[in-house]
Amino acid sequence: MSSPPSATPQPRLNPFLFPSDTDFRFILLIVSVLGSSLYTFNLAYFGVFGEAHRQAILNCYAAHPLEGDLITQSIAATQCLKPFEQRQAAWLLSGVSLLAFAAIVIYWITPALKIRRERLRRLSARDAPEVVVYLAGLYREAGLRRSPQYVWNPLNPTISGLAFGRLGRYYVALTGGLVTQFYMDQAAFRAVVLHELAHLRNADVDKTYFTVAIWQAYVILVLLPLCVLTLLDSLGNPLETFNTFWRMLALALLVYLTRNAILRARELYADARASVWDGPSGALNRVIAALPRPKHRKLARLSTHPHPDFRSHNLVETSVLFRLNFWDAFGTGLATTIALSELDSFAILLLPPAQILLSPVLVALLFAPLAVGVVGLGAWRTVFAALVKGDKPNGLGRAGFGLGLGIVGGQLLAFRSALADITPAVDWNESAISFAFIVLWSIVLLASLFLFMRWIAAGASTWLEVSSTSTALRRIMALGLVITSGILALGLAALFGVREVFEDFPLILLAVLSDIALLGSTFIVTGNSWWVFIGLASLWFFPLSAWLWRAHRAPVSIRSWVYLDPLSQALAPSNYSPLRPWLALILGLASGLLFCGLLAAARIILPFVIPEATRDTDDYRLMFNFGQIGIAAMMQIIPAVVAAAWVKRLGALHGLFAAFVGGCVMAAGIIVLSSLVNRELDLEFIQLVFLLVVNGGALLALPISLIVALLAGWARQLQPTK
Amino acid sequence: MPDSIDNQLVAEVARELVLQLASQELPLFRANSEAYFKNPDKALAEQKGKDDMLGFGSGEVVVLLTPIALSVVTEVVKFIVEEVKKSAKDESSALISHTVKKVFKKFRPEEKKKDHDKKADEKKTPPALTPDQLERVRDMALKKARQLKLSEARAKLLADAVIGSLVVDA
Repeated sequence: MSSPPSATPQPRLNPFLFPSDTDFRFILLIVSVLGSSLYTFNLAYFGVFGEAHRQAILNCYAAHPLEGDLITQSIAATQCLKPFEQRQAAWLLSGVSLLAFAAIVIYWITPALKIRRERLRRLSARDAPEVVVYLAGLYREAGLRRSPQYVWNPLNPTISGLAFGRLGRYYVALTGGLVTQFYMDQAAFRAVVLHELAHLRNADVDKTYFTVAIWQAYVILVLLPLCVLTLLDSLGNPLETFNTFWRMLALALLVYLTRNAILRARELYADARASVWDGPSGALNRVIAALPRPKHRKLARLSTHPHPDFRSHNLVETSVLFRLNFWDAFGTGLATTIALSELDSFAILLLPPAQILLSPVLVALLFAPLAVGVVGLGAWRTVFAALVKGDKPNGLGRAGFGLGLGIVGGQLLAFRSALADITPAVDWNESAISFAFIVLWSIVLLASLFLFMRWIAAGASTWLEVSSTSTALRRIMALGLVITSGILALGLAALFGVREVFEDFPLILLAVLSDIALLGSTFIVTGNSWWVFIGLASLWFFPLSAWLWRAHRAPVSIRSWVYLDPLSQALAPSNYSPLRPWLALILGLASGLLFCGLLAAARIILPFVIPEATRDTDDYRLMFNFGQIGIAAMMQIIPAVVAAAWVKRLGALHGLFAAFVGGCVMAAGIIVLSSLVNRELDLEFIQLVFLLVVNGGALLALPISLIVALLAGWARQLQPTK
Repeated sequence: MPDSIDNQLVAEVARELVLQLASQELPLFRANSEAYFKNPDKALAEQKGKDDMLGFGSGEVVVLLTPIALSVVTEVVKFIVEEVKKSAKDESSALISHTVKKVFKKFRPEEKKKDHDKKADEKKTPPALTPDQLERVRDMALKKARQLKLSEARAKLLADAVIGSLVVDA
């Protein structure tokens, strides 16, 4: 048993400034259950109507063979299948609704059942007057608007308390053993009750009991029927059974582990909250140290309660609540991808045939807020803790990697993949190309998410420094997460869209890669997009725009609201480097003006060098126009490299900003000089030049700035410090 | 529980013992005694305790003295009833019950009275237990407490308190 800490060496970080892990994991649970149940109900549907559905597909494609006008025929065949797909959609919707209904019913009746089963009754002054008087004042100490109803079972000699209930009706149950503690060890009694009140204050009781309810409903309505279906199927097709079984097991494990993660997280937050009320002289640490220890320490990480040692540590050092775990990120990617993949299939059943291609965009739009809600917010917390301590935020890239692995794994687990596994490959060549494409796609995804997490950290670090109050922090964070979601949605929509097309038709990929003209057209189409512009501009805009609020800037560590406990003495500010957008602006302007000068010179000199007959051809004009755009895009690398190397903090983003400024000036130069020469100003031409120059420059400057900033950082580290 | 045993008597004597030895259990006494008289075996079995998966606390099971005290006192009362019956075969059950009660100090308000009043009442007061009987009561209480898994020290304290609750010959 460890003794309570006599003096806290460092003030504890306030975890309640951010939404808790309980909230994130609860969302994850809902998402995993949704994904897993859609998977099961799909299986059940094919178990019941499989043959009829298969026959309908054959009939529809026989009636509308894929000959002649492929698109019209394909749409007609899909239209023919609609009644069957609508039946499948209705089946799935009924299954999910039934699951949700069962979970709500279980959640609603659980308190009454608990009271009855555990023979709990109201704790009255007749039973224990001193205890009732003592408890009457505690809810105010806990900052609750009203007191929960205290119930007890005097026949239960265990020393334990429990907060439970449902929306609007909450109880704290005490055992007979705990009530005897009131007379024997009042400090321990108080610590237990405060811990339970902390659950109510943290508003995690509803989430907890809904979590338990949804798990029970899931076992009854999803897991058990799936086991039966799998067993029945195993008689017919062992390969199909294997494919179903391992996926089912993985999905059930995901739901189970997410449930336990919620239950563990809530305990840590309740401990932190109760420790503030209990004070340094309270008995909470002693009570936690006396908690029963699990037999297997490593398994405790997966159980419903955190290990007592971990909890004791959390009382002294709350920074464990600010870490973004690799497995949380992995689980987020996995659960969200499975659910959205199932939702995607579900949406396809309902969408009109012509709009089916929109589904990757819908998936990305749904995925991004969910992923950012868990992983992005986790990144903000990690950066916050690191800034207060004057450390570098660790593990964020790893979390991004985990998110990516989760997405890849989720696609492997999804029902669609189960169907693909049992469909014999048509062409080995196509399959090999498709496989190579998926591997490449996964690498790009992992790298992108790794960098994406680092970018969130960059934005969080600049904005946290200008958050002067806790309210400002929450507002800024909410705005930051919206922007982050938007960028992730854009990136993932592009990635999912590319995958959707090339995974099914890998030969198109080969055609694009082997034809330079087609490749060039693809780049022009990509570059001439406002969405790409918004995505790329947001990369530097969001983190660097915090500079505009520099009047509020201060080291996070000196703000008193970042701590859980009142500060007894002023703390030394942590070191931090300033942002230098002015420098990037000047570099961008200089490079832009240099380009304009060179372009003007070229416009003057070229008529003397190149004969007019050549200059009047379409080929020359095309080459000149795209040549100046290409040179402008490449010239943006210069300010980007200088800024990335020069600026110590967020060098790569300063580089991107410098490239943007340079790109704008260069685009303006091209447009003005073109209009002077051609004596006309075409709006479409202006947009094309602007987007191609700025987006092209940003796409080139981004990887180079990253590499230069990285090398410059290493070089600075190698320099001897004075 | 045989009907012949006065539950109220058992409860009151046991409550005195709990007050002396484990006053922290007094709030639990009423519920525990009700449960005990309803189903003694079940009440004693519930000493094992139940811990909720979502609960917080050491999860330690407090060995409640209350059900054990009730059980011990029941045995003692049974014994005293038998002893009283032996010495007053022809008496009515109401008188036997009255006599049994008077064996416990708690039901001897006379002791608080003045000496002259005491002397006047002496003829009506039933005799106290003999040392031999007291010894047997102590052994019985000790044995029962041990049987119900009470620690040795607490079992002895309980047995002594039972003896202390009885009227002893001066």
